[in-house]
Amino acid sequence: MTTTPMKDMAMSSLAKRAVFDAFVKLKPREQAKNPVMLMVYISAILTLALFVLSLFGIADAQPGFIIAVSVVLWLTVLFANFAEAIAEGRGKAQADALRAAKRDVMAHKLNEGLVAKGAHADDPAEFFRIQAEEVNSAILKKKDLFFVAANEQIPADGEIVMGAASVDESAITGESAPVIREAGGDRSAVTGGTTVLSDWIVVRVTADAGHSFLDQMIAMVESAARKKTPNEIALEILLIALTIVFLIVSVSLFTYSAFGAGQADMSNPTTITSLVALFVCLAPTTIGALLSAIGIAGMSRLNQANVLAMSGRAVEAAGDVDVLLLDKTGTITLGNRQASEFIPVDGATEREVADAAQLASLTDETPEGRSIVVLAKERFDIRARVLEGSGMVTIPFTAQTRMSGVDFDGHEIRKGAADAVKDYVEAHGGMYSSECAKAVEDISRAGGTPLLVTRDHRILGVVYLKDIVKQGIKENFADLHTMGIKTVMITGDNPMTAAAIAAEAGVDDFIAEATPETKLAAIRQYQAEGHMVAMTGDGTNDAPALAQADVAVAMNSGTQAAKEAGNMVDLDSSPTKLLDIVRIGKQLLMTRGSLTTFSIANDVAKYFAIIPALFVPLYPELEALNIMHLTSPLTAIMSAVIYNALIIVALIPLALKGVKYREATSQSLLTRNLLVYGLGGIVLPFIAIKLLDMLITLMGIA
Amino acid sequence: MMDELLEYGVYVALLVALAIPLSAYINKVMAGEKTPLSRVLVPVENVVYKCIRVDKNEDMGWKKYLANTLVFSIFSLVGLTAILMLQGFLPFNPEGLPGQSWHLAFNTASSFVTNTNWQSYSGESSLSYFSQAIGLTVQNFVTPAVGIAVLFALFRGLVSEGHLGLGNFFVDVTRAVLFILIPLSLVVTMIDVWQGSPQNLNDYESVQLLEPVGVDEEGNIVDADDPAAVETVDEATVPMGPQASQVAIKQLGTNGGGYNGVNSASALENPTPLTNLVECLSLLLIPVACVFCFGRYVMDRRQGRAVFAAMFVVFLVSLVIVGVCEQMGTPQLAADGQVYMGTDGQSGGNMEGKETRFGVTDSALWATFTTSASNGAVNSMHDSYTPLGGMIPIILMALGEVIFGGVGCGLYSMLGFVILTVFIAGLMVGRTPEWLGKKIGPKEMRMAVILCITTPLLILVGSAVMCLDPATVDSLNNPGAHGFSEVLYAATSAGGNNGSAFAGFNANTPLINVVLGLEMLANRFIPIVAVCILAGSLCTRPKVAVSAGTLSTCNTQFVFLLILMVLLVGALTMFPALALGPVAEHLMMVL
Repeated sequence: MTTTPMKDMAMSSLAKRAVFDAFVKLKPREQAKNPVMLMVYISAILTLALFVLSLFGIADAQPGFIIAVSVVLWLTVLFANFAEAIAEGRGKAQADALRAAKRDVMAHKLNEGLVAKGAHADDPAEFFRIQAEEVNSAILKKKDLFFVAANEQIPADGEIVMGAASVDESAITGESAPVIREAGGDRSAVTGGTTVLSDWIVVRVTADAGHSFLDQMIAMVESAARKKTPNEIALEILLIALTIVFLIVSVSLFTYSAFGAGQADMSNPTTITSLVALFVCLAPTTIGALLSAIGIAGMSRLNQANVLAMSGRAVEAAGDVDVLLLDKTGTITLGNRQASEFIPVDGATEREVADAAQLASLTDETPEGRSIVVLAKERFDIRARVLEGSGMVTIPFTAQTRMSGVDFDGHEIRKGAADAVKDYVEAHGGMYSSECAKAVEDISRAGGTPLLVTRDHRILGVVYLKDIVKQGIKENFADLHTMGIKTVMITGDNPMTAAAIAAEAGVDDFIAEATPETKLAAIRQYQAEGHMVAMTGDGTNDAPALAQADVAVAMNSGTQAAKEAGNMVDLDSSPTKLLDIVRIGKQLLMTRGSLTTFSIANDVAKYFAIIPALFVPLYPELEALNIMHLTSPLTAIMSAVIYNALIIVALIPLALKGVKYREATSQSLLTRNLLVYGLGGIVLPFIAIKLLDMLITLMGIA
Repeated sequence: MMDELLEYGVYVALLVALAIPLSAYINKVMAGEKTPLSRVLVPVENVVYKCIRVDKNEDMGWKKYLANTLVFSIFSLVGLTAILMLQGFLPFNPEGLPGQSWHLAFNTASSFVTNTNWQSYSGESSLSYFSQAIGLTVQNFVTPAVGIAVLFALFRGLVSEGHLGLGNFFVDVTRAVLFILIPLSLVVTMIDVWQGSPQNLNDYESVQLLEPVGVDEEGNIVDADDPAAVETVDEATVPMGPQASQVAIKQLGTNGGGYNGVNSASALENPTPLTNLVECLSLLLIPVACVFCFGRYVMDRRQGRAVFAAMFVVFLVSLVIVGVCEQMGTPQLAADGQVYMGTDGQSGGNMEGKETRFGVTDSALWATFTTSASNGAVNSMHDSYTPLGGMIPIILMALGEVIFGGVGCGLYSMLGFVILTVFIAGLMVGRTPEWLGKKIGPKEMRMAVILCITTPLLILVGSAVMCLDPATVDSLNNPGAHGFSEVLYAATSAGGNNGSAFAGFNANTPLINVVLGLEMLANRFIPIVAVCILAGSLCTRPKVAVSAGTLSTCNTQFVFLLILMVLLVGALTMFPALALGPVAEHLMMVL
């Protein structure tokens, strides 16, 4: 409840700023950026000049009519400016907030020698604090090293080389929960402008001042770096062509009318003012005025989804993507596998399996380990035992043994992956029975992960670790499938497990036993077949694949290398964000297409308003074309130009929000949009122009 | 009424039935594959290459292909202008006809080099056999061949996956002439000669009229016993010459330039119902076949069928409108029952400017065929059509001659509209538009837009310039709205590279000759340049995969959208002009 007035206030200050900017944008240089509106701008100047001339007796038409047309044309230009300004406004406000975060601070600069020495100091933090050179953050260069302690702002982008800290990244992500950043691994990147909350880190600078992530972000949200995308350029070509066509239509009309009038010994009934009005009405001003607003608003919607696109091109490409590579973990399944069953083999009981598995997992802090303990408690009420002093030795998991467990009461209890355990028992004279092999295979085939449990080199049974597919993800994939987007699951699991999960989640394809190399190869393969591929990634080893993908979303939590390779950064680091990005990309293109169709369809009604108005003096029979029964030629022309101006304002919300989007086949989407924007675009102006004409007549202006 | 429908049905069914197998043949020819005629013609083909020193294996990139097309055409233009101006000094001129004026020669040369065949003169009374055969007939063969060549260059760019060659211009033109145009012309010539068209190099003959006629003071023909007659004529000069062969290629090559001034309304060019059928089918045969060639070439015949369907729907609707309008005549004609409006046993309806032997049905059919194809041959005078009946031919031409259109050029312009449609439809479903697996970028869009708006723009500019010239009024046959329709028709016919005339309009003035000449040249060569650039650009586009989200370009929805796009561009550009011409005239007539 309390947010509404605040929001209103923010909106009204945005609107105020936009109104101001709308006038600032009247500068010819600003106008020249948009060819369609430039023509309206010139038309407005021309009519103003005609009005001035009419004051001196060189009358093209009634001075009142000329100035009325001129005012409406100026309003048309201002409305277009306003649309762009309000779209930019949101970004500008965001940029201001970001700028506040980006201030120069004192940095504790170090050098390689100090860092090496500090590593062996008793209290490295204290050592660095004393030894560091205090400099202004603005002079930090790439590869410089600096130290940041708790409650200090990180002065520049970089990669942590030593230490770990919790960092408040809310200045950039808007998310107030702190995140952990540590040296090594996939979470070593820090961003300038964020704040260390606890502990300390030593960071190597990765971006010079002025090229930092924050700088890029500011530039992007402000649209300062916005370049027209190929698609936008293609559309602009169409709009320019239409503008030229209508310019020539209007000019040729003047000659036709002169020709007809000449034969009938009349004076030319068409005036320059009315032809200028006709031209402006016919030119695709609606889409021309809103085109850049649509593009800016699309980027802005993406920003609101907490995704930072490095270029508008990437956003459009997102609409075209037809293959999504999705990491299984986190995107399709909940991050963790959970134990769901104990399957005894070779004559052991289920309880024995549970007991041994629980023992082997007591010190295992991984989610899988914990879930085994929980299941053992649920099934057999086996409680955690006191292990202290029982002579127990914990055997931690290593990449070599791929097993973990305990030595307890003289027993050797282990759990681990099937093939590792098989080697282990066989090496100790145990045996891997066919019953066990079957249980393992069954679990794999069902999409689970089998974990073998042994006691004293004898296999007791198998723990069924189940992958939990996220709720609702299947429907999501079905939607994507309807839209012709292929989903590919990437997983390190073996093919059998992968196939089962793929089937459960409803993805179209999967890549099992994936490595960074297979990912890259898969992307290249899809691209060679002519597909556009999108993926998300966070690790440094994802960087090559990210660089190759057409739409590459790097997690903000990821490494610097991943962020540099991607063309978008997801500040929330959410793996399902890719789906939103595709939606926003498609919506952007659809909004452009729909408003273009609408704009062109509008011309039909405008013709029926203006042509009879212009030529009834010449051929009174043409009154039959005045199907709207507009009062007089003057009211007809005025209603058409006023409609033309007002429709821009009316469509600003649509341009900013984007057209309604839903997953459907392209055929049904097209039918729907054609009906709404094509047919609607033909019908609406007939009604609106008629109403405006009635209004003008009522007010007795004409 | 059933008879008319049946006749329309037979014409149209025969047309499609012939075009489909022809398309397979054309594709084989253009790919250099073996055909039944190869045995005879390949040696001839090789001799041609030797004579013009062409390496038939050379594969040209778009720049070279385009450069050769343009150089070839400029050479034709200059050569033809010279022949026409100098025909008085050249051989095969038994009537001793003098050379044409510079502006008429420029207009005629532009007209024939651009496959328009607009004629500001009457062939039989102003051109020598040399000019007709070496000048015009040669162009009648090579210009449709150039159309086919450029079209196939576009096809090659469309299916290319990184290969930059568009084929060899000279090979394409040679094959199109030798394998397609000459054999087909031979067949049509034989039928015409069999049916009685002249095919000789004799002097013009004088024959006795069965019934003498009179001529009044103003030169109008009246009955011999009419009191106004100042002179009685009992003898007529019958033009001779290689008429049948000229007629065959003028029909097949969407040329349209008749041997005689009245074109196929003349009994010499079009003597019987059979020749009318054959000539009428020849009008659209190759343009329709080209559409099916497209489907075959891109290995997806549905693509060709979809484009065909879009053209066919517009074509049929036009045919029906013209037929109905002419049959109904005008309220004035129908008023007191003096004019027979029925169809039983004899021709009725609006028969002004139509041959009684053809009647409304055959005339309307021909008018629709000839303005759909950018042919321009006529068997009736379009000037005398009812306002709406006469408006349809204008619209068919003003749409950019994309409803089948000229040989080759009709389809490549239509493909420009296909790209435009794909672009807007693609945006509306949220994808970067793609067509046949190629993404449509700014460059493709620029060329497609040029293809779509060149014709309407040229028509507007041409008609505006003519309207500005006070002398134009003197060229008119009628005042007011109909007079404007005459100007509009002339500008449209030239702008659409059609070449048919509204009659009634004296186009042989320096300004009109030059304006129309430039219009014809621009409308021919601007699209050719655009198509070559488009083909070159499509070559470099990688092929993207088709997915369920790809918008189909061969279903009913797309056909509908394509029709809509063609009509929309046409309507938006031509609405004001049509309102001032035919629409105003129609309203004045009915109100």
